[in-house]
Amino acid sequence: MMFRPLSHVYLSFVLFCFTYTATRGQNAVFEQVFSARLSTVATGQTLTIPPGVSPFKQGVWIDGAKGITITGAGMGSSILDFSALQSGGQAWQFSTCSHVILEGLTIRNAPADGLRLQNCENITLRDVRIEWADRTTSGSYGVFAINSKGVVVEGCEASGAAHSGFVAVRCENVIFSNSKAMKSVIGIAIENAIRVRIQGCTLENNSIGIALVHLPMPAPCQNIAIMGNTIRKNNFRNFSPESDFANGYGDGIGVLCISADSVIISQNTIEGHNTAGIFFASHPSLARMGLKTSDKTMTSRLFCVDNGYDRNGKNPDGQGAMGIFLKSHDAAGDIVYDSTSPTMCIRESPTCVFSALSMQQPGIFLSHDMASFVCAPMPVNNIIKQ
Amino acid sequence: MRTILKYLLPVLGSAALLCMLNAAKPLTPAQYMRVAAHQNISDYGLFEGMIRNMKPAKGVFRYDVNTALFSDYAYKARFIKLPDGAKIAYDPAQLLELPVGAIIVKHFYYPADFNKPAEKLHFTETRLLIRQPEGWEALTYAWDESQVDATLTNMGSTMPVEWVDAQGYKHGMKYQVPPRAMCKGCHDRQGKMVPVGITARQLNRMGAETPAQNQLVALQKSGIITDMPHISQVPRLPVWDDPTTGDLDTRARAWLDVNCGTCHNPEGTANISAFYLDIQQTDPNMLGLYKRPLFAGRAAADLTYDIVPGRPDSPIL
Repeated sequence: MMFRPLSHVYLSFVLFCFTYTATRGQNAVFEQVFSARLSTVATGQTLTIPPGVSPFKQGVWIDGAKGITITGAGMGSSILDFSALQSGGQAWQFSTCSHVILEGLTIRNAPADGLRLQNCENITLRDVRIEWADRTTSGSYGVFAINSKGVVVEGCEASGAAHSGFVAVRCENVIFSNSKAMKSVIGIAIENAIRVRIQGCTLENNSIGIALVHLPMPAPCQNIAIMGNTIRKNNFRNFSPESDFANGYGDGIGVLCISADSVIISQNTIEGHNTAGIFFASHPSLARMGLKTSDKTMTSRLFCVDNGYDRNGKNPDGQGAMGIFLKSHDAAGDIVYDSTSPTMCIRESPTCVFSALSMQQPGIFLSHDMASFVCAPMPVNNIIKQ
Repeated sequence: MRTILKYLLPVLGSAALLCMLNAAKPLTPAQYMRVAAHQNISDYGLFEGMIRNMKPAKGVFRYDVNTALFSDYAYKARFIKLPDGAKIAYDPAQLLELPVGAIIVKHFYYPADFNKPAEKLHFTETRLLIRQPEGWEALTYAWDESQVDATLTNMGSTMPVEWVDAQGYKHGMKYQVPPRAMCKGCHDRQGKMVPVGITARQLNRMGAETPAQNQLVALQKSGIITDMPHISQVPRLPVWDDPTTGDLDTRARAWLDVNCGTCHNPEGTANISAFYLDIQQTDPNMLGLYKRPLFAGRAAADLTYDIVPGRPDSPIL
């Protein structure tokens, strides 16, 4: 017998309508209905997710979908709960998908990651929330984009992730706009990704607001613009597992940049961070802080322009190797800069508290003089090449 | 005669018309070569008689691998169907190149008693990888209680399985037939669907069906593989639990290659871990020696390094 997908689509649709009408408000069988719909979804189709809480026993895996839209009734309304996942730990994965829109839903309590995009192109996430209620068991990554190109995250939220609310790894052309991350170890992490814009986002009450990290793997981390965001009071105690690189970062940092290249941080509000508003470091300087790293990459071409700073570095509590180091060298402030990095350009208000650490062997020298770094910044598009 | 013609002419006419229509719209090679996905395993004609007896039909041959992926204790039986006259291209390191139209078949089953591995078999699923003109297509078929045939499933399912292990202990669990979208969890190289075990080093062994002859030599003799060097020049993966096939280190690397290296390699789905356990890997840092874990999350369990030589208890692995 020939396999006829159309008949499956039709049958699934009838089943969907029937069960949806019968179980509105309970959603206990929605997982089955949704899986059936997903397994036959074709280009151009839209799947809808009803309001209410829908428990899922299996993760949602979508492979090779092109041009589909999945629409819920809003992040506060359509809630997919993965607390009782029976196998695997990941709630939702798109692999090798393109031109997909996912919007209007919450993914709650995934045992591991919330939403993973692997080898995808042109994906839009809109009005999507990833959250964990309990940070002692929370997963590591909220939205986890890997090896993907063209990812837009707009109006989304992430809360309670043990590594990062949003992370882009080995990705190209990524935009985070008007999104929020809170109560996570890192709000938004950019790790070995290129051409990234973070704009109009709110990063509040994480351990680190935004982290740009060149991890020791053969892929660049460069061309990143952080523009017009509110980065406030990211002093949440770092609760990442001890093995995690992020565990050594401590907490109380607005923007942490490790060995990233071509970065502009402009017109952001950065306030109330115990250790530092912005901390630029490189792997060699991390090694001097006692953080184990095998990477020799330096950070370079950094621009800090017209940011608003307030009350950063007032209360470094020496958490994590980074915090201990900065506190012991009295280097907390609005901008802390490891001056082994080539090219640093600052155009900030004179009230900005600046510390440049020269980590050349054998000693470590400290300067608070910003004057030698003042320069005319480059146009943003020259930096991020987006 | 006239009566016969009266009936025959319209038939011939229609046939001629059909031929003309066909000539006007010739099948493209891709349409011609495509293997249609069927609803049941029995529809493919891969086996003679009852499928569960696993007797290959003509053009289908069984193969075994040196070190198998652990799959929840399931036994696995593997077959390849090749189109008539088709050849397999030899490669010493990478996957063997199977021709368009080839089907790789894998049954998953549990003998009731692992000490009697050919009796009372409970089949859970049969997976197919079909080499279509545009690439590999993965299909999963779940067996039901009648144990006669398996049916295509897109969503996957769970089913209870029970067995008595080699030491006589009874076990039971919920077996999960994965949804089709999950195939790429493992069968993925940079976003492309690929087979996993079809390598010369895995097939370089005596077969269950040909205990007196190396599987690759048998394929060479039958003219299916033509460009392979002498079998002594072909790489061979050790059998992880057979000390006569390699020292501890090489057998450990074989086990890690098969059970971890499928994803943990520079092109696999775990490539962002920068922790590569594929058999070709030689860089100690990439092999995880004193390397900090990347993207391991809570799986790293507060441990510092991927691998610490000589200390099996302290690193993450």
